[in-house]
Amino acid sequence: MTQNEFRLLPQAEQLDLLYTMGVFIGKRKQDNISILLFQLDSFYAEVHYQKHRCFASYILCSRSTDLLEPYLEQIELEDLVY
Amino acid sequence: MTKPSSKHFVFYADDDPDDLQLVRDSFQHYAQDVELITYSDGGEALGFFMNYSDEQPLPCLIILDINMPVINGKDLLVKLRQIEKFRSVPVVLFTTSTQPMDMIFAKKYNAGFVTKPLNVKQMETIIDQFIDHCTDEVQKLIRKLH
Repeated sequence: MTQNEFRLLPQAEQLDLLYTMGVFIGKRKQDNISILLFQLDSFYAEVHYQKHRCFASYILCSRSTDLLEPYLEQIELEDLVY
Repeated sequence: MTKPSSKHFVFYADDDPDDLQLVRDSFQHYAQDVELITYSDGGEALGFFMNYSDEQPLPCLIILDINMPVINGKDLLVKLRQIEKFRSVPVVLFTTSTQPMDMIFAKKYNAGFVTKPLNVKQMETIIDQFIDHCTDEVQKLIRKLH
């Protein structure tokens, strides 16, 4: 799946794909809003939620590792070794 | 912490208020038979489990987030399994993690592993997965009535 193919999907399908195929990288909060980052094949997808985690507001996609920056402190190197 | 009643009850420990609310809303459908009791960190949950009296009925399920302050869900699971009365109570590790190591850990301590949903629609399936971990008797009772 390429980033462009992913972008063309309805949001519910994007979330199903991230749930079943995505690799969870990290979670952060910004102004009490949850934001989750996943890797899917060769790109990253960041899910931004509305007030609660029930409904996604939008999904930001990028091939750039810049999206990883706010999550770097959370990544457990020990988990990557195994 | 909310207080238990005479219903079947499920304990759920998670520090994320959004996840607590999501699970709380989903269990509302079963509110007639199941009461959800929540804890906002692993320490609060452990304190409750350590002082659990023999007169109180055991929960039909315990749901533990992995990444929690004070005591994380994995350490809490280990401590729970060391308490005789909780040794065979169904436990599910409920986490956004997809790490195989976490899944292996859950299996080692006779616990289930469920990945947190990304929206409400996925949560409907996950409630079914939670109920699948309860004893057959509890599953029949809950599903018969809904």
